[in-house]
Amino acid sequence: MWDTLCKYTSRVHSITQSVNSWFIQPLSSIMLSCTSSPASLFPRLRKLTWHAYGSQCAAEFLRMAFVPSLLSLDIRISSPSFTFLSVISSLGTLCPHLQDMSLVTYEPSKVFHKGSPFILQPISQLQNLHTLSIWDVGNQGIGHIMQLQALRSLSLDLREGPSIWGSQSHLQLPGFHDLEFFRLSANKLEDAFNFLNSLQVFRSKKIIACFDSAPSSNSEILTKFLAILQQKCDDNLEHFTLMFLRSARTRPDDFMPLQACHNLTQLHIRRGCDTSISGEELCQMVSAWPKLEALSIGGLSIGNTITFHGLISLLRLCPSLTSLSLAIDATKLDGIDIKRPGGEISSKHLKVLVLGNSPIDSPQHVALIISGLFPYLEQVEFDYWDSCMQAQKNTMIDRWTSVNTFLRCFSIVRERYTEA
Amino acid sequence: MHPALQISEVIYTISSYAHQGSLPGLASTCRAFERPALDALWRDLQSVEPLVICLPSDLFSYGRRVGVPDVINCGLQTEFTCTGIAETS
Repeated sequence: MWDTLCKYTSRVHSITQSVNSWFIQPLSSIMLSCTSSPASLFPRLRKLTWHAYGSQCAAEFLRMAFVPSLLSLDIRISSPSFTFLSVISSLGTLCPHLQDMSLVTYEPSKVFHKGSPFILQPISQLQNLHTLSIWDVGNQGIGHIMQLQALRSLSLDLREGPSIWGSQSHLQLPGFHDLEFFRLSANKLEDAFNFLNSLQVFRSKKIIACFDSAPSSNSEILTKFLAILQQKCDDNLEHFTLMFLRSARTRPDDFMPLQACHNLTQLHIRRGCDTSISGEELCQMVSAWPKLEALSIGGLSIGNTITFHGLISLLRLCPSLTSLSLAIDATKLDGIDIKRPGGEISSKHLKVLVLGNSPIDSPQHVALIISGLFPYLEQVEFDYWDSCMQAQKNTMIDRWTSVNTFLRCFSIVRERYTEA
Repeated sequence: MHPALQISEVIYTISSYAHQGSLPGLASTCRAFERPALDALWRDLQSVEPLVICLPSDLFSYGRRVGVPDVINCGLQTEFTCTGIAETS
């Protein structure tokens, strides 16, 4: 029977168990009686995805699937049994070549105290780990992660952890010197600030910060967080994304610390950040980022006063832009020359223009201006519509659809002209 | 057989592009296709179910075909034919 099973298991390169299954129990019973070594049963297994039970049965199967050839492991569980966690703890010796590991739990608060001791050991052993996604493993665990020399990508979920980041720590950890990507999920900005403040160095080219709670109004915590981020990252930061799951009122001044990040090529202030900003404030903000290639500022709504004049100034300051997403007031066209809207300024590089919930009156005039500013742009894309503009949503979408129709027509005429 | 089909790379390439549901049939076409098609069939498992149902059915107290996707049933039929699993079960 084992020979027969091996004929098939030896062919397997990846296993994805994305739901709980009745089959796990009988399989684990069989695995318990298997005398073959895991490596002989799954000699070619490279990738294992387990989004199912963290039960003892699952542990028996994983014990056989943790083989030296394994390079990628993705585990997502709710309440793991101690047997399951003990199998996880042997990952370092069973899968020494592991490069990509994701350990995600649906109940981090329950798993932290129970599971972290089992996680710390393999983390310190997996020296080939390149990508790691994990829940908050506390000071000691973070210390282990910092020692992984090959690590380039880290996703850390501080939500519902042990709350050790709820207050400022006097402990200084060495930090991360050579990350390409870092994603931080936290309940509050304060937790993220305290985490970064506890690191001596934090160098990552790309950072995504996602928060459940919005900062309270008039709070300086966003500025403090961005200031400590800039201070720790120095000039290494090239790509920064900020997201709030709940709507947060932010001010242009909050983002001023980022002005010291001169190598920034991408800035995304995603949905959740409601920022009222004027054209002058936008230009002041981006003036320090001449290399900027992608800018998106979500959540701009009726308080926003950027007009096409601001957009033209933005193009002057950031000539490398290839992607732009923000809301403008496209009803104000005063002073714009329809024939040459940008004067000498136009962007041939821009590939994506998302104008969010931008109010618009005249599709013809707006299409003429856009085609003048972005001669190679094929269409304007839509973003979500702010709740306060729901009543005008359909009318505005119709008008922006007309803009796209005009842009297509201009493009056809331009092609004819070029061919002639 | 066409001379091109004597080149193992060609057969492996054909097998890698074949639809998952066609692989059991491809494996039983001839000896040349058996191994490459079975390799492709078992390469990426979308659950642990195929591992369970290739074991002898009398090990468990459930019907072999209950709740099993068609593709897997089809694959097993081919396996029984091609590799003689039936003797072990």
